[in-house]
Amino acid sequence: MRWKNKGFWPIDSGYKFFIAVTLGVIPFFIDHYLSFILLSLYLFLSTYIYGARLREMMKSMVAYLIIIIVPYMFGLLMATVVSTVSGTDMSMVYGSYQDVGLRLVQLFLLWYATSLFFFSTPTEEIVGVFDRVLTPLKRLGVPVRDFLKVIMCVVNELKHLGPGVKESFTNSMTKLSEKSSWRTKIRVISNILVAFIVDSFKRLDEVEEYVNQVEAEDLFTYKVVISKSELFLFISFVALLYTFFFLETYMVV
Amino acid sequence: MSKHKRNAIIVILVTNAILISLLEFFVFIPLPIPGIKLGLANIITLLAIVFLNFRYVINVVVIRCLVVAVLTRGVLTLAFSLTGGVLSAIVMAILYKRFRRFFSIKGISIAGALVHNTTQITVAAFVLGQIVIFYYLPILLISAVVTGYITGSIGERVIDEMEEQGVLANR
Repeated sequence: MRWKNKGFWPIDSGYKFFIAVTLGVIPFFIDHYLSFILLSLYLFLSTYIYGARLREMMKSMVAYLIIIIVPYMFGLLMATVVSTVSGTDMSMVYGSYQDVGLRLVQLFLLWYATSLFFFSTPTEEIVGVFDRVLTPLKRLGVPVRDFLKVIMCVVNELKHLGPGVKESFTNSMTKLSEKSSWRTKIRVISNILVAFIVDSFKRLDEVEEYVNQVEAEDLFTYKVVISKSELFLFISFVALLYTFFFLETYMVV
Repeated sequence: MSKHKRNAIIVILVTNAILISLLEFFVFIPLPIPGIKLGLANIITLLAIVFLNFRYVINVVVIRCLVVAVLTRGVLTLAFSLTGGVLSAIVMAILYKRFRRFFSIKGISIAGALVHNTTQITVAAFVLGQIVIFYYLPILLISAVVTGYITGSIGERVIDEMEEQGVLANR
């Protein structure tokens, strides 16, 4: 997948990572509603400056909804039913809606801030930044580089095999009638998978040679580049932090 | 086994885990419930448990979760997939290595699916600070039995075939 960064300026990936993590943590330390509005605006502006793909980010949000909101809404419904039927007061159990609302907003902002980094940075640089950030672990003897090398080998294998396998799976599955029973589909999938997995190990020597020959530097890279744009963004970030401090200290909620 | 061979096996297993997940798009689940999927990638965890050491099993699971998170940019889902994946792999590995005579591969797969879904809902409850989320657990547990049985059945066939063909025999 070719990554097209359509940001205003090319921004250093390490800087984006640092800002994303900090912005993701901030929602858990602020209370004032103006702070939340300001943070949201800053994140929204950053989306365009970083060149993050908003549409792709929104698609990724579906996972957030499915994992957190759907079970919560279902649980809330069930708690209300149980409370109504049994006549007990369940409000102590599920707390105030305000608290839950605040937590959902905090989680959303955490997700959005970290997504900004991931949706505006090529995979090779994301892994390169991790390689740099995890330097303390490397010094402790943890084989971080090996681990990241395997990750990038998998990414490259997926790029290499993905389209062919997808086409092959699609062809195998479209042979099935739409009216085929669920059980038939599972049987067909089972046959495809058995053949696919067993065959994949026929490439073991080839993959071993690739893993052996390729260097980590060829797979992921990150070089710190601090230019005027990073300095300008950093000043705006410090101004934002100062505004939060002012709002949280001197303004009454 | 050399380091490069071990890494090559991990690369193949993780690549397979992600690629076979593509097949899930073709399976229409009769009762579409949010958060429920077949979890075909679990087959690869089962293979790793049967053919590799415990340390490499965890490597396979962690690398799979990280690659999926990096490729799909699914940052938030990483916390859920990683905790669910690692805990279910630990439970399945213990059942396979210590209690194999009591559990078939299907049984181990069902246990893994139950642990996976329970962990995910626990993480969601912890993150949101709301225990009402646990009302969703029975639905996830029932689905885990069904999906665990299906992936276990397929996994059992793959393991038999690999043992028959001597794949990874000299591990």
